[in-house]
Amino acid sequence: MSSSTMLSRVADHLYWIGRYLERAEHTARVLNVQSHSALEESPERRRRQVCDVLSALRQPELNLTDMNEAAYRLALDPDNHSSVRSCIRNARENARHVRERISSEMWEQINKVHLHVGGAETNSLFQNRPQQFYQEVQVGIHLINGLTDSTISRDQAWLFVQVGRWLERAGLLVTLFETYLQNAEQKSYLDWLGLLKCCTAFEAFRKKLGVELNSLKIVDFLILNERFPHALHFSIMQLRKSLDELAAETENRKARELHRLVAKMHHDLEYQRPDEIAGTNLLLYFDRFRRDLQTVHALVYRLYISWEVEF
Amino acid sequence: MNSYVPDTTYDEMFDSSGQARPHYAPLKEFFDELGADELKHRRRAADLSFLHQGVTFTVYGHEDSTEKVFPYDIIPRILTAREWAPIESGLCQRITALNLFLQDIYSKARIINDGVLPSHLVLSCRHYLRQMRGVKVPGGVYVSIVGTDLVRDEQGQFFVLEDNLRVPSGVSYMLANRKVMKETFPSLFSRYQVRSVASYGQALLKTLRSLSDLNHAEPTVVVLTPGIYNSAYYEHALLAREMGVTLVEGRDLLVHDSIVYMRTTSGLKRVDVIYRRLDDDFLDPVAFRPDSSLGVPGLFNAYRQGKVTLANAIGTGVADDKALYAYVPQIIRYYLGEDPILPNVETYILTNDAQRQHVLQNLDKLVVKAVGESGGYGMLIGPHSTKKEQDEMAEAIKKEPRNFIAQPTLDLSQAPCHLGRGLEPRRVDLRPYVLYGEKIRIVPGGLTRVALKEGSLVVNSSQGGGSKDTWVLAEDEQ
Repeated sequence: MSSSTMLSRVADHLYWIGRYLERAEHTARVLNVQSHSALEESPERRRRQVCDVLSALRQPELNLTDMNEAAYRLALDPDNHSSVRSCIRNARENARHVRERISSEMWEQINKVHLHVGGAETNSLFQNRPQQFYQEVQVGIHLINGLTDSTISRDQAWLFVQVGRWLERAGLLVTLFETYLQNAEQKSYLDWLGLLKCCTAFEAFRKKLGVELNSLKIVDFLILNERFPHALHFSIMQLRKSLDELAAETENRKARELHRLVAKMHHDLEYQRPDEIAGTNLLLYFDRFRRDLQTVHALVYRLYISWEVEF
Repeated sequence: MNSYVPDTTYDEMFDSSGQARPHYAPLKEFFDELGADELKHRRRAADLSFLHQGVTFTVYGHEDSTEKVFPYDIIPRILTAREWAPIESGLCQRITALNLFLQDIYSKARIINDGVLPSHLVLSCRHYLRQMRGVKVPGGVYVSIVGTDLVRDEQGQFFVLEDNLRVPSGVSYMLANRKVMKETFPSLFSRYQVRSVASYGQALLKTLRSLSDLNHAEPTVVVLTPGIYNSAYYEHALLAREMGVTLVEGRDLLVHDSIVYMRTTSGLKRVDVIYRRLDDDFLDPVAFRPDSSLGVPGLFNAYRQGKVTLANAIGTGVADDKALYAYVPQIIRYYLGEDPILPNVETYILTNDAQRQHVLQNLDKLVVKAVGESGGYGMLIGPHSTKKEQDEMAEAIKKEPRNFIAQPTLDLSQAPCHLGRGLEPRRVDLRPYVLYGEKIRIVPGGLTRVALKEGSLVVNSSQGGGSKDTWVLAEDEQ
C-alpha cells in the first residue's frame, strides 16, 4: 500500500532534497573551477571574475571583489542560505522529515556529508586546500545520488527527488549561461573553457565538436545537446520524463497543463538550431525560460503538494 | 576486567564471590582477550555508527545542539532462558488483566461496585477520561503496546516498577543497539545463541492490523508523530519504516463526515488504524486541549463512532497511574483469579492516613514519585536528597496527597559498563515490549536502561541515562 501512497508533505520534502543537493553540488563545482582559474589572472580580470561567479550563482547582491571571501561566503557561510553548507544542511533537514521513505543508505550518506561539511575542521580544510574541499563535497553528493538510484524503488519517492533535481539543474544552468553567454564577442578562449568546465563538459565537448571554441558551438552543446547530462536539453528531457511518470503513478487527471508546458519546452530544445538561439536576444530567451521553470514549480505544488480539498 | 569490584547489590555479571556467572563467562573471556586498546577502537567505530545512522534524541532546553546521540554502553546485558520465561508469562498475565480492567472501568465498573478498588482513586486520576465511558473499543483492546519497567532486588528477583500504557518509547533503541552490537562484536555473537529482535516491526504491524474493525483484508495503518521536534521522532520514523507504513503528522490528516483521511499526492486516502505517538490531550483540539496544533480536529468523534482505530486507545493512562499501580496485584486476582507472576514493588498510598504518616517520618529513606509525571521528573530519592528537598516534598504531600506515592529505595541491580576507564558497575533496569492484539507478542529482548552517573539510581534518558543491548539466550548452558 505505501508504495502507491505518498503524503503531500512528504513529496514536498523529497522534492527539496533533490533541489538542495543539486544546488550544493553545482555551487561547489562552479567555485572549484572559477577559483582555480582565477589564480593565473590579472587583478582586474580577477575582480570581474568574482563578479561573474556571484551572478552565475544568483548572489550578485553580495557585492564582493575578493575571490577568497566570495568563495567562503558561497561555500561555508552558515548565514548565507544558498551556501554549500546551508544547502546540505537543508537537504539533510528535509531528509530527516522523510527518513521512513528514503533508504537507510541514502539517509546515512546525506547525514555523513552534512556532518562533514558542517564540522569545524572543515573551515581549516577549506582555507588550506579549497580544491580538496570542493572535491569531497562533489564526491559526497555523487555518492548520495548513486545510492538514491541504486537503493530506492522507482516509485513516487524517487520521482519527486528527480523532479527537484532536474528542475533545479535546468534553473542553475540558465543562470550560469545567462552570465557567461552575455557579450559573447568579448569572451576569450579561457572564458569558454571555464564555462565548459563548470558543466563538466570540456572533455565531452571536445570529443563531439573538436578543440575550437566559440559561442555558437557552446550553445549547440550546452543548450541543445540531448545526451550530455549538464546540457539544458538533457535536463528538460529528464524533467519531462519524471513528471510524466509521476502523473501516471499518481493517476492524477489534472496533470495535463503541466505536461503540455514541459513537453513544449522540450520540443523547442529538440527542434531549434544553434544559430536561431544565438541570433535572438539571449537575455529575453533565458528570461522566458526561467519563467517557464517557475510555472513548472508552481504547477507541481498545485497538483501534488498544496492542493485544495474538494468534497 | 580486573579493576572491576562488584559491591553489595545484585550484579548481573558476577556472583557474590566475584566469579563471572556461567552465562557471562564467554563474554568475560572475550573481553579479556580483546584488550583495552582494541576495545577503545571498537567503541569509536560503534560511536560513529550511531552518529551516521542519526540515532539521536532531542533534549529540551538545550539551545545549541538539540540533537544528541543516545548514550549507550557497549557491554551487552545477558538474560538466560530461565530468567526470561517468568518475565514473559508475567507480562502476558499483566497486560491481559490491565486490558480487562480498562474495559470494565469505562463500562460497568464492576471492580468498584464489588469494593475491590476505591472509586475516588479512579475518578480522581487525571488520565481517567469521562468521554470514554461507553465507547466501544474494537476487540476490547485498550492497550496494545506496552513497555513495562522491571527492576531486580538484592536477590536478583524481578519486580514490576512501572507499567507504561500510554505511549511507551525506547523500542527503537533496542533495535539500534542490536544492529550496532552485531557490527561491533560479530565474533562475540558466535559464542552465544542470542534470540533475534528483528521481527518487532512485523509483529507490531500484525498487531495493529488485527485491531481494525473493518473487513478490509489490508487496513491502512499509519504512525502519527508530533513531528521532528519531538524527542522520540527518530523512533517514530524507524517504526514506520520497519512496518512499511506512512508516517503522518496531525496536519497531514483531516476528518470529513467522521472518516479520517490523509492528504496524498493522489488526493485524499482513508486511514483505518492510527498508531499514535501523541498524548491523549493533544489528539483532538475539539475534544481535548483546544490549543493543540499537533492533533486532528474531529478525530475523537470519528473514533467514538468506530470509524478509525487508535492504538493505544484513549484514556489508558488511568491504568498506569502510579497510585493505581499499587492495586495491580488485586486487579490481576480479580479478573483472572490468579496470583501475580511478577511481584509489585511495595507502594504507599498517601491518601491513607497511616501510610502517609509513615512516609512523612521516613522521607530520608523512601522514594517519592509524582503520580502524573514520567521520565523521572518530580521525583525525590530520599537517601540522595537534602533536608530542604525533603521538607518541600513533605509540604507538597500534605497539600495534595493524591498526587504522590512512596516506595522503598530500591537497590537496582548493576551491570558492568565500559565508560572509558575500564569496566565500572552501573545500575540498570529492563523494559521489555509487549504487543497485544488478536494474540500477545513479546519480542525476546528489550531496552536495558543504565544510570550512567556513578551511584545514580535514575535510568531515564532525560536524566542522564543510557542504554545497553539486551540479549535473551535461546537456551541455557548446562
